Amino acid sequence: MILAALRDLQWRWKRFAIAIAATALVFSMSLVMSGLAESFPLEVDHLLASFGGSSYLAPKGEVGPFTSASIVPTKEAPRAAPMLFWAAALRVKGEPRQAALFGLPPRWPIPVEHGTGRRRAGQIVVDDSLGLGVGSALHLGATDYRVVGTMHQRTLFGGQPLVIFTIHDAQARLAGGADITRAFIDRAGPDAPAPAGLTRFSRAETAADLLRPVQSAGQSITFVKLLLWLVAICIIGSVVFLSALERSRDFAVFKATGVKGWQMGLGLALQAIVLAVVASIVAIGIASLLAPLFPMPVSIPTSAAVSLPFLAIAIGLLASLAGLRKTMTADPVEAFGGR
Amino acid sequence: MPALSIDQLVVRYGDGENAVTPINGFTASIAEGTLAVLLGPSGCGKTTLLSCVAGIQHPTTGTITFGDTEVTDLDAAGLTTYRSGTVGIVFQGFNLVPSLNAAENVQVSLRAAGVARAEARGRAAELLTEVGLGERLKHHPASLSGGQQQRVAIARALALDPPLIVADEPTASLDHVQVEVVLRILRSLTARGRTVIVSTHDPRLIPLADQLIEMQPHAAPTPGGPTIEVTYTAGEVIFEQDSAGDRIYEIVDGVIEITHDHPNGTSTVLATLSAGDQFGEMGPLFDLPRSATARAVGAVHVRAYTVEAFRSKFGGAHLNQLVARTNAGRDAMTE
Repeated sequence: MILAALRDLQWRWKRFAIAIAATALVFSMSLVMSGLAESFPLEVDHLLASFGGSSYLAPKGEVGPFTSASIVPTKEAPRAAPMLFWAAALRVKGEPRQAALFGLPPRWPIPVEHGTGRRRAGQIVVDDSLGLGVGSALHLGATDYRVVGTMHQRTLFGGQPLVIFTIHDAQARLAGGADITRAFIDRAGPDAPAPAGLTRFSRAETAADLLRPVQSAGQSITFVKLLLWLVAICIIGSVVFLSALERSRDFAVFKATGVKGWQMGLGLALQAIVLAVVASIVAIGIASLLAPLFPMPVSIPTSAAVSLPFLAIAIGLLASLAGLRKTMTADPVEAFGGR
Repeated sequence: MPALSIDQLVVRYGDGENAVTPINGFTASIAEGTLAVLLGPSGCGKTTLLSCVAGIQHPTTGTITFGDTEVTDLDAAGLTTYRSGTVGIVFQGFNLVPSLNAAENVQVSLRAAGVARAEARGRAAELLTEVGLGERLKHHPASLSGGQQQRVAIARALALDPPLIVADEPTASLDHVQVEVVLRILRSLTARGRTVIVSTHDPRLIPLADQLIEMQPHAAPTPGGPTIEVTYTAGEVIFEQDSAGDRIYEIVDGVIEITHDHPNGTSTVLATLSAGDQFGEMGPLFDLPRSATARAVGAVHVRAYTVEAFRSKFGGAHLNQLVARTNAGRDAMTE
């Protein structure tokens, strides 16, 4: 029956090719969605790697260092680096751009692709996706800031570029120059005691804090992925079911000649699996072409690409259920009588 | 001992007044190594009988025994095994799978029965060569003539070397040149003790048959010449439903009632006829069993004609009108 199933695929190749193309598009969207979802934690990993530090400190009672709503004097943790973080829209080359802004001590090392990570007053380090090179200026209100270093792929919240000021410039913009901060980066490990009035957060806890604002976005993406898989099941299922409907006479003949129902069902399931697996392989190619075109960073995880064909097998099996019933209930009496 | 015994077979579809009984108490036995030809007009139950013999359809009552196997006692799994190993079926419409080439069509049942791929391929080639298609193994059904397709279908039926072959109208879709080859092959199938049952209304198969089975018995000619006068007393049956008959009747005097008996024991009065009315033309005219019973209500005097006598007395046009009137009456009954 495997032979009959494969020959039927060849026989109706145009229909199956269209179904493969449609399913591949759906699968590729699912891969891109995985890439989008993956980009959030990846951004966070990159940011935390760039900032260094083994732990973070935030005023007691706060949920995390990046979502802290309280301010404390910087002297509360003299051995740690004060960090101010806020989000703002910047006008870059005439266009408004949403960015993630940080204030860090001038000598706090920031790895850069070009220029230097050390800033003085009026100097900033930016992510290159902002479109500003070393030496160019960023106009922020009445103040011009000079770009002294650029980073690569240092964004937050789905592609918002990082802009890193000196802590004093950040304090000047946010607190009229008061020596305060919302959090600290500390080289001490997560198990070290926190200074009085502060709570220490590990890297993992900090990462979770940074991901909290995009949590619902991540859940939405997961939901969309499920919907896409459902669409894939519907596409494959409808094609396989149509094929089963058209082959009802063939199934009746097979049954009349002693072929067992499960053998015919196996053939139909094989068709659905072949269709789904081929579509998944095509989808990996399409997704790799689509990913760079997305306005948000898309990091398709290798695991998602590798597991897609296996997921496709499951989808194919589910999709074949509709047609499977047709084969199991095929009436061999239909084989008698002229066509 | 016969290879195949069919005893009091009844196949009924539906129930109540709408029940249809294409086979009603059919009995036959066919010896091993025999080519039996089932004869009868369309609708007389030939295909239904074959599908019962092939283990595809379960009869309402009656038994079918092939060798030591009581086919009518088998469960679904047993029937699948029976169809796979014991029966080869040649269908009227060939029923080849269009996506498979000739060899693959033959291989399917072999592979499904667990025969290894290489062996199945070899067996398919061998069988197709036997039926004269050794050069067309890779041809798809669409590129084969009707006769060639039927030969592939025969090869497929022989794939697992079954002791019983059933063929449903195997020459129905073929021209006379193709028929000759198919007939020769069908005749040769009994060579190794195989039992072959062929349903047909193609008279060219009759000379080939070892045994002719009339699905619908022909009426024995009524004695007394082309036109006879008969009298019946009240309640006496003139002809009975499902019987064969060779007479068309005209009422000279009296009243008769035409009733249709249903399988559930109820009956419907179709018509009450009196002097001058004519009835009973459909059975003898179309060689069909009587579809109703005619019974005298009181003392009745009828004139009974053979079809030829009726036609020569009243003319073909009158006969046509009678048929049309009967059909209109039936349509009205079913509405």
